[in-house]
Amino acid sequence: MIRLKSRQGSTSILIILAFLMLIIFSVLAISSSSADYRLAQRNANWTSDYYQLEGRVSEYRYNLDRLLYNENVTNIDEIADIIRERDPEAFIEFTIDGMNLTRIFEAISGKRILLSMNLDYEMDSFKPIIIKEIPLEFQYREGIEFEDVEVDG
Amino acid sequence: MKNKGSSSTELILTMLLLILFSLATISLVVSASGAYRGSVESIEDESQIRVAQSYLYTKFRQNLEPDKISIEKLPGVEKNGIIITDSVLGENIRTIIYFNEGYIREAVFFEDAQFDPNANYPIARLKDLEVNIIKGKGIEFETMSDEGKSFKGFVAFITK
Amino acid sequence: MGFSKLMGIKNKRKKGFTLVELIISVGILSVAGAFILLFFAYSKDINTRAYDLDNSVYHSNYIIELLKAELWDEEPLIDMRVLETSKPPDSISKEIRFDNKWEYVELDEGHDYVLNLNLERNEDGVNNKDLYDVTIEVIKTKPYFRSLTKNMTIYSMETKVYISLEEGDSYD
Repeated sequence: MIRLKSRQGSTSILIILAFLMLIIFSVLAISSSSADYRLAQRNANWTSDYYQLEGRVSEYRYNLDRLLYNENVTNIDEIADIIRERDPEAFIEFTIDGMNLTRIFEAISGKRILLSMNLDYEMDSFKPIIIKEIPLEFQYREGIEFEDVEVDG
Repeated sequence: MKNKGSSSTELILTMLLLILFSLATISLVVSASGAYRGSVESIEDESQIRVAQSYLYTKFRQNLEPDKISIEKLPGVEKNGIIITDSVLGENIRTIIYFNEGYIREAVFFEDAQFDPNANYPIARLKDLEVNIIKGKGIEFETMSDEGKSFKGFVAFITK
Repeated sequence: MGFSKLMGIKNKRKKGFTLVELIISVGILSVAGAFILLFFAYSKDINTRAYDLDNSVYHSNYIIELLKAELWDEEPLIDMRVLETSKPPDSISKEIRFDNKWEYVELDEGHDYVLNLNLERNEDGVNNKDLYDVTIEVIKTKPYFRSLTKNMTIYSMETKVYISLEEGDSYD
């Protein structure tokens, strides 16, 4: 039979309650800190990823300028042909201002940078017009199907 | 034979000890909760700064085109705001990023619409935000957390 | 109880708290509490690591962007300028030091964090510009709470920058 009126063991109950509170707070503190640290790590990885991708863009710009100065090219069409041959992903169009080259660089993580350069007809140098990050494409899950709602009456 | 007085002294002493013990236990629990609260506030502060810095860097990097980003004085707002112009489905829209009432806020308006400081989406809680464009070089910004820590950022324009 | 009543002996045993109970309780609580309070110290350590990582990222971002913009007069790059020479050096290194609050400190002052910035030029440049491999490494000189490792790398990143180091500036 449990003797509820007994005061024996009340200190034990007090200890258990205090213990419980301490455990709860300490576990909560550690889990909050860990979650925050994981977010910090993710932010650091995204940043490293972005700058690695941007490094590829810088290297591409350097190679374009080297092409201009080191190869024996006499006109803009030759440059365009060489670029098309070496880099099929580059999109080239000719405008009044010269040759516009557009290229998208993509990282494994899905980050993308758009590079747009212009080379005038005097072929001084490739000038960067746009170097910007393109937002990730939003992809719907396959399971979502949109249907027309049927209304009765 | 024991004096009645001593047994009540014993009782009083034990009760005092019990009270002391209870107080000590309660203060231990209260200090633990205080430590947790301090930890969470500090985490929250850092998290807001991280969100703010990440948001600003991403926004600027996604709109690094000539004459797309500008800084203007906004009506009803103490600090200057960042205006990013864009064209969506033929319509010219302005994304306005500004600091007001303790938050970085983002608002999107059509080009000819009047700016309303109440129509916005809060991004992160800060104490202060300073943004400045260094012509031909880049955008400089500084975020300050509620705890008073400030962090600088910069996004370079690449024009040559 | 019946026997006591029969013998006329007053039952002196009171049902209540004993000193022994209290002492044992305090003992258990203090030992267990010490272990549990250690978790708070761990939590504080993890917070510090997250804060250090965030600061490393912010400072690294800032420095890379200043490099790209070639802003040699801004504080972290202020001693890093090109000597008057016909050819820029193949490698430039700079050590930037921070105190425990992540404020810049001079080279001869006490510091807790070090950011090593290294630029390496692999090939000849074109049109006064060079492609540099940039490496940033952030190191904590003192050990964290749970570890004995000094000079631990908190964060590192690599990128390339295509910049010009104009004649007329000076290196250190």
